[in-house]
Amino acid sequence: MGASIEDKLFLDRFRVDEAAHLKIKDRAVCIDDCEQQPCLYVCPANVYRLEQNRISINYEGCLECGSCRIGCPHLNIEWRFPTGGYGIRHKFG
Amino acid sequence: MTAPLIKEGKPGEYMAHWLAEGGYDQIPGLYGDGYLIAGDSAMLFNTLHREGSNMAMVSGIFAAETIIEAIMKNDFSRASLKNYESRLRNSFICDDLKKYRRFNPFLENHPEIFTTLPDALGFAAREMLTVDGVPKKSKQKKIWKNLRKHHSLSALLRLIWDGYRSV
Repeated sequence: MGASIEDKLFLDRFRVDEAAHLKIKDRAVCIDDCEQQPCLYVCPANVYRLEQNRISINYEGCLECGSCRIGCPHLNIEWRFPTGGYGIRHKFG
Repeated sequence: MTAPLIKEGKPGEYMAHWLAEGGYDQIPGLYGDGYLIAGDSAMLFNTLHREGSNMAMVSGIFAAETIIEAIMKNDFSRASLKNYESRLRNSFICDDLKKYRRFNPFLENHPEIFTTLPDALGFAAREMLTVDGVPKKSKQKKIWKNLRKHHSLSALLRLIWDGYRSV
């Protein structure tokens, strides 16, 4: 109980691709038009973080659940699975 | 209730997953030379009851039983793995998925379930739960009027009929 997202992510193993599989299509939309910025809290891996007027994507810890793709009210996230062999490696299925 | 079951348990992995838009009509070919498909990949998913992990586990058991048979025979061809499908067909999995096969098309054919109906429901809840001295009867009228703004009577009847038939 009460374990932080970082603690939980530490249980997972990833093989990180050099190129990001998540992209924000138009960064201006996030800052100018998006009031709620739900990507900052719908992501179970805390991939999206607000850093001084810019949303950063820490795609390395992505659990590949797709919440952000559906949760973004402006459909501003270009989402695809990581290249085959990369991304999260499930130990238990 | 679950506390004794997971007592002294340790988290093994952290994961999140999206749900397959699966159902009876989405089930692919389940077996072939050297492979079996189970769980999410086999589209064993019940939209209405949001269940799928139970079917994933049971189909996994069936797959294991079929594979054990195949090992005994030392034959992993399509014909040898055929029993996997009959195991699924004779279980609750195929029964349930068949029962709800119309549910996904029902949601797809009635977009108002995701757009105007939730709004109307929210309006109704706010009307009924607000204490403002207005009698319930006039509130009911207002709610009905608001519902009818976006839905014709025939559309509402069709929605109820289709919904009833889909479950």
